[in-house]
Amino acid sequence: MIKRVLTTCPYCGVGCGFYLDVRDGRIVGVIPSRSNSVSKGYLCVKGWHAHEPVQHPDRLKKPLIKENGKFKETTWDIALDYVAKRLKEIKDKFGPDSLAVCTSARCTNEENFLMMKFARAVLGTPNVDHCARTCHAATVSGLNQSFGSGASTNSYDELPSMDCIMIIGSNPTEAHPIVGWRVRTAIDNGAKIIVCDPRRILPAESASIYIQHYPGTDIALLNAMINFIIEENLQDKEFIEKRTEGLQQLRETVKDYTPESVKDITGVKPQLIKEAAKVYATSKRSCIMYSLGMTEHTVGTDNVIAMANLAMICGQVGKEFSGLYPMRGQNNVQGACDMGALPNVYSGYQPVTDEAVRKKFETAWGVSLPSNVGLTLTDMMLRAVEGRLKCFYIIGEDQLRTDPDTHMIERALDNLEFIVVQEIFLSETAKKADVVLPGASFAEKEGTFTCAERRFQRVRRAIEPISGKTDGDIIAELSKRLGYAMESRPKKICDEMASLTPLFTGVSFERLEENGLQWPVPDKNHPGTPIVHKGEFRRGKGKFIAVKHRPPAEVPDSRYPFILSTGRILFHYNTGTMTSRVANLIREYPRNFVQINPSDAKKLGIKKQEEIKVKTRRGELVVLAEITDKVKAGVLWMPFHFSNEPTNVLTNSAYDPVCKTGEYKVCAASIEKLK
Amino acid sequence: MKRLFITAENLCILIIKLKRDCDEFIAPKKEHLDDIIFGDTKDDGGELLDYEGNSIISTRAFFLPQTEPFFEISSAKNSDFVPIEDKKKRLFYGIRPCDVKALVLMKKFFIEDGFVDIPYKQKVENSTFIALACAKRCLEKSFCHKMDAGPLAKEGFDLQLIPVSRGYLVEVGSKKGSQIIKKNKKLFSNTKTQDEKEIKQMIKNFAEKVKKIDYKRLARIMKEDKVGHKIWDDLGLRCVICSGCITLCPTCSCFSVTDRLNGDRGVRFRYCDGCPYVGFTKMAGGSIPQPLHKDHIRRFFEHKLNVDVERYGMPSCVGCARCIQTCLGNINIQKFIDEVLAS
Repeated sequence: MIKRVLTTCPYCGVGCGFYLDVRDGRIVGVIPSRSNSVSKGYLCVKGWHAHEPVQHPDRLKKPLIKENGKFKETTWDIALDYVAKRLKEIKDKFGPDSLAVCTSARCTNEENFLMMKFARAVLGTPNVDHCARTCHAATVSGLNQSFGSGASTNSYDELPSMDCIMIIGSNPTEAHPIVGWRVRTAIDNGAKIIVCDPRRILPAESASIYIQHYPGTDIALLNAMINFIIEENLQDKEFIEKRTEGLQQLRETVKDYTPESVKDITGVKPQLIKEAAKVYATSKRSCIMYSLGMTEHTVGTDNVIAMANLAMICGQVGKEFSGLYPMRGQNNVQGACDMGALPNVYSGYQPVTDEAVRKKFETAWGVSLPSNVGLTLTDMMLRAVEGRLKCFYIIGEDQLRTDPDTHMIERALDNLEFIVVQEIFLSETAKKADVVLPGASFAEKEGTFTCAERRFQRVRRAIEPISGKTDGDIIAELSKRLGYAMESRPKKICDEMASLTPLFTGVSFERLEENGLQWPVPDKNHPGTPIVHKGEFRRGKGKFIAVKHRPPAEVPDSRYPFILSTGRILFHYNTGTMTSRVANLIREYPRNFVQINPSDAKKLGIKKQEEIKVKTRRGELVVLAEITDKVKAGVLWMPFHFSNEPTNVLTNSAYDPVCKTGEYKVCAASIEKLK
Repeated sequence: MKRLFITAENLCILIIKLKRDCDEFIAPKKEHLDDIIFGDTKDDGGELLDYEGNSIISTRAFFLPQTEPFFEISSAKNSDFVPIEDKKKRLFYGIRPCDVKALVLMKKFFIEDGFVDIPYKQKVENSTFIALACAKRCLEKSFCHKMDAGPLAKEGFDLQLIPVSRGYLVEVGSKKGSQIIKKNKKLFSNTKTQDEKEIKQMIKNFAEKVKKIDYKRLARIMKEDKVGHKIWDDLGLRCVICSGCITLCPTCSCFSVTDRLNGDRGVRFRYCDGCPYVGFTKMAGGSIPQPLHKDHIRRFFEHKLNVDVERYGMPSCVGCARCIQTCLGNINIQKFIDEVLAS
């Protein structure tokens, strides 16, 4: 029996479409869909192997309950009864605010909506968040202030026709390869590429201008570009006049940032900054593509605002072939945000503090809802360390490997009274749980994911859930046990979500069949919105907000003389729970490594592939040395994909005060040879 | 070669009869929007009698799937395993000539060239192939006619259908094929002069203003290492190791074997492998004989256009353009060939 099931890739936020090739119940391959408007028959190496982890024998099949420190397999009934009982006990004893829920950017929109509802309506806690906190929360907070909407402004298909693409803090080739293909096509079509990155990534090789600034100096760089643009009178006066406000303050602030004056901070020749500014400002079709290189800083929100300022001053936003492209890291991190899996909003970014909004949800759900803003993931961990948070319900998230400063996270988790983890493999965080509930992979469920161009797309079931239940089923069954019946059929959940969310009113499974829909979709017949802020920004006028360079929380000193930055590589995905179970992928990169400049390696007598110790104030790790001039002298770079050699024991949990995203991209480190 | 004629209506009847004699009837099927993919239509129907273009995946996916389980391991310690065998009888309908030629080349590698791959051989022996000639070029980028792989298949099929205005001409390519004809005699009739004229015109239209590639000269240039280094450098910068080319190529034969285990239990399977990966030729001690990425992608080109010309007397690129269609670096093998031959 051969089945071809069209679905959406479970890896990054690009949202590629492929068929799962199912033969006699076994998924044997992946077939790209040429008709999919996102991927058009293209896939990356992870996508081509997306089927492999699904039926891996390591998959969790039965619920696990920890007894005397050891997991024992049990039945669904026993496990769910126990979880329901404990959740109720803790809620009764310590109050609902002692509970927290972490939903999953890997799960569907419907499951995120359900879990958000479960937290607020059933547990009665405002504490719901997910991993966008550790990646693009700065995009939401930054772009919201500048434009009134915290998502990508334009669509992928405009990229090949751009005249100038400025890629800053993003590595599309490795992290978002199908967008990387569009960048490649733009280059082949003659576009000028400006790459600003502490590492000489592949697009830098074909770039017109490559700026290798120090990690954590983006605002200085961007402000200097704006300064030069104003100085040279290259700004779009008409756009500024008609569509923006607050220029005066920005003008004052950027006076202090000339290409010359930021030379020492950024480590970039003034001429390069001037050239980049000129190319961006004078090209007819310019856009900015960015990613976690901009957001994972203590100044993440300000970084995003600085880019918005640059786009607005040149009139390169709010029209076709322009804008800001925040490249989202996970298949459904856009969707998890959209579904209100955030402590301050319901679905469609409706504030929890807005009484009319809360009333609407209370009426629909027939319960009273918490009126306060809940804890962010970052605060949940801090509260847990303090002992004020008692219980954590986590779906598809491995905080012990993904959050900065692993040792602190371990202390937080150890301090909790009760942890439930819903997972497909026994992750490091799952090992800390009291109960592990086996979830379902993308291939086992119906639903939708929303990709980085705000496109809802269908996810379809190829095989029955290996554990017998999808994540949505589990939530609904727990809810029932806690005395609140919830709809668990994905299509119906989608309808409920649409009926409560003005931004997505026109979304339904039927309408997504062909090629999805890009939000906003304000009514049932609305065709979707490929370009946002056309004619008018969502907030009315675009707002210039003056931001200043602030150094990272930790800067090199004599004890820790290097800047350590972290990121992704092509062959792995996040903590490697899936990619480490794919033969081709793990063979390419079986171990963690640190990139170091040849001059630094020479000074320290380090040879290639030698095991060396990387140390920071928070921890140390032995990894292989990769000597490469892709990083500047004084800079180290490590990926974070290896669960048994976890980079995040080193990273800094200092966070952006607005969005609470940790500073993964910069900390001070030292390296030592092993004796 | 003597040809017969069959009407579209009779072809439908033939298909119904053929479906009775196989476990899976693999035929082109329309999936989402314009996607065409070979699938099993035995029970549910939906095969395209004739179609424009080609299947996204080639028939290779049925003989060498991306991952192919060999046996379940019930205990690695005790060497207990249960074989997973594929003994299904398959009829392949509507395969394009490029893919038929690819099957001929793959047969050389997997069965005829000294070493016999048993799972591959079993599946081929249990299969019947009905080719469907191309009335016009499919993908804009395809170049089968330049690689001597279209619009008609020359060998490797049991039957070949050639679309003409009043139905299909039928060529017999094997004993299996002539048995099908014999069994269903009434469905076939003789051809008319007009049909043959149409085919001639079709071939003429297909190959208009096209010069076949001088693949011997091409192989010689590559063998003598006379390809401009800029060409290899550019390929090295473009290839981002998506593995799409080696997965979709109908003649890529490389694979590796591994176990997927959870403790003592699991499954042994083979998986498609190939040139772009660094790990493909990594030595046990970790050394990589060809460390530069451009040399990995060069391996792909050398194998198709140079090594196989020496080994089989013909290149193993059939011009289907699937690799071009899926390359994230916009690498175009036809452009490569043209550039090398022009140099």
